[in-house]
Amino acid sequence: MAPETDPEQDPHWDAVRAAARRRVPTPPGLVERVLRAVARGRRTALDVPGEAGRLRVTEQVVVRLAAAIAAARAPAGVRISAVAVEDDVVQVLVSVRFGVTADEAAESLRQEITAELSRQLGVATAVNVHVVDVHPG
Amino acid sequence: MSDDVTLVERAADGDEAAFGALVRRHTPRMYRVALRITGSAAEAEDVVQEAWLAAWRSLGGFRHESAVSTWLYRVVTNGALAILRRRKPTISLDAPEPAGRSTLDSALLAAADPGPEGRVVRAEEVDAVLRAIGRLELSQRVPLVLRELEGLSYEEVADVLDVNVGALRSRLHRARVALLAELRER
Repeated sequence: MAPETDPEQDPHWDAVRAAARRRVPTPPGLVERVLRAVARGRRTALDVPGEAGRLRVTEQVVVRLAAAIAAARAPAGVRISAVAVEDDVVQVLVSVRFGVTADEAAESLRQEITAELSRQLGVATAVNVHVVDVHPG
Repeated sequence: MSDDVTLVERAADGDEAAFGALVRRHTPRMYRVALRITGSAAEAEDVVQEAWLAAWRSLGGFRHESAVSTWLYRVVTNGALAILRRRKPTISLDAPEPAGRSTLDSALLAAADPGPEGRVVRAEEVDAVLRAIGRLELSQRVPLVLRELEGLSYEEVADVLDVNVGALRSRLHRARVALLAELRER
């Protein structure tokens, strides 16, 4: 068996060094999106006084919960494009498959998210579903 | 310009401008690491956002036992690993490449500088290296990315991955041998 040589001495390793030098551009607006996400993480979306103390839930948590629920409960032919909280209302943007009855699918999803969010958070939360795109079947 | 430690201390005290300065300074390298580990531009963005949220939440607990940059490398590396573990196992990391260019290629090639023929050949070699790294198992890919592509010292990589330097050196050696084998098969 031939003795194992140092991989870094192999001629192929020059390409690895070149790979390390390749610039990777940061996507435009990423820093701003990060700062907005952190700001959302700071903001309180729900503040519910209780006998034993308060329940505070940040916008980031509400967005994550709503996104997870939307992904799990989306009817056939509905894709979740984005979830956000604006003016204390959960906004869900979806794309529907061509041929799907958009208003029925959106309303069904809205009811599912509203019910599950209320169950998990213990308070009623307003949810809007917006159909923003159509995709082929 | 304030140093990282000062910015972390000010950010932990609620100084939003200091936190913003940290984000501007470190996001490019965090994105680069996330992209090189996950191979997906969209996932890399998610990882970076989650990493900064995690970093912001733990600012008060930062103990200065390692450099701020090392701490952030750790946060983003853990985030990338978490997202890969959550990824639905529909596509094996060892699966043959699909036809066309992968997301990683596209994202990394966005930076490729069109130039003379020789540079194009080198660009293809670099693409092959990045694809080969993307096919390595995670236990080899991650230290390789941190050491060979990011240029961290052995001690820094060991700190990021929470392993001892001896174990890291042997893992890196295996990773280099595996990468070279992939490159020779081209």
